[in-house]
Amino acid sequence: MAEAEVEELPKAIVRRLVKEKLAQVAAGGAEVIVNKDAMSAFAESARIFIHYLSATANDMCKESKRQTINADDVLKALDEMEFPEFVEPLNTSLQEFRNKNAARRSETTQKKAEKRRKIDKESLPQEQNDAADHGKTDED
Amino acid sequence: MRQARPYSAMFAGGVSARTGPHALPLARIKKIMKRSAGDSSVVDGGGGGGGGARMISGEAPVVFSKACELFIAELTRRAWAATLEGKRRTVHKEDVAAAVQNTDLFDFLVDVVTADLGDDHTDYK
Repeated sequence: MAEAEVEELPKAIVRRLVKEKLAQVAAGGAEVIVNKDAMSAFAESARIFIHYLSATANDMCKESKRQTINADDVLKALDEMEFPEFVEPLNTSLQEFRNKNAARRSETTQKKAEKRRKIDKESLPQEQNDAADHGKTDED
Repeated sequence: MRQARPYSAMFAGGVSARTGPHALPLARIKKIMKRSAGDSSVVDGGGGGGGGARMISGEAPVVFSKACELFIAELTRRAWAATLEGKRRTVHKEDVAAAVQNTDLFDFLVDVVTADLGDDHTDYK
């Protein structure tokens, strides 16, 4: 039953990646046609690659006696699968991702600080109202 | 109102905005990775780290997604080389098969493309 739920990459994304690469490598800039069978072969190959990489990354995680698959496990898996030339561009992408995440966290922290100040300001008018109510009660 | 964050959709499913429209869906990648963990646990007989609910760190699917993009680009480049050798400008399935067979790196794909060539009906299991 689990096999019936075979995960596929969205074919539109595979097609876009294939077309983008062909535009880069095809000289003369002419449109390159990829027939339907070939595009299916690309999508199927990508699916097999994903499962292969996923299983290998899982093995890396287990060898280290950890329960969480992390980015290093994926990178080691690529070495294991003999795709070492992928590792350097992936490290670059990972560093960019981390930098952007750090920037986002900084922004989030700043917003939290602003929110705290806002709450502090709002507490003052409330105190004044309380004082006024108290005075009124005394008069009664 | 709060400004929309570039990564706000990343862990809520959908396509990451990090690399524009070419990014692969991270939620689906996570699902695949977890299923793989589950399969391995079954093979191990459920001992030790049994169960499919294995944790995946936030960075692994990003690296995974990029690796898939690189793989597709590499396979495309080699298939195109095969197309040129055939003096054609249309990529056929045979070109993908030739790319796989000419590259030791892609040995794990040989069964897939070879089976396709031998049968008119593509019956993916």
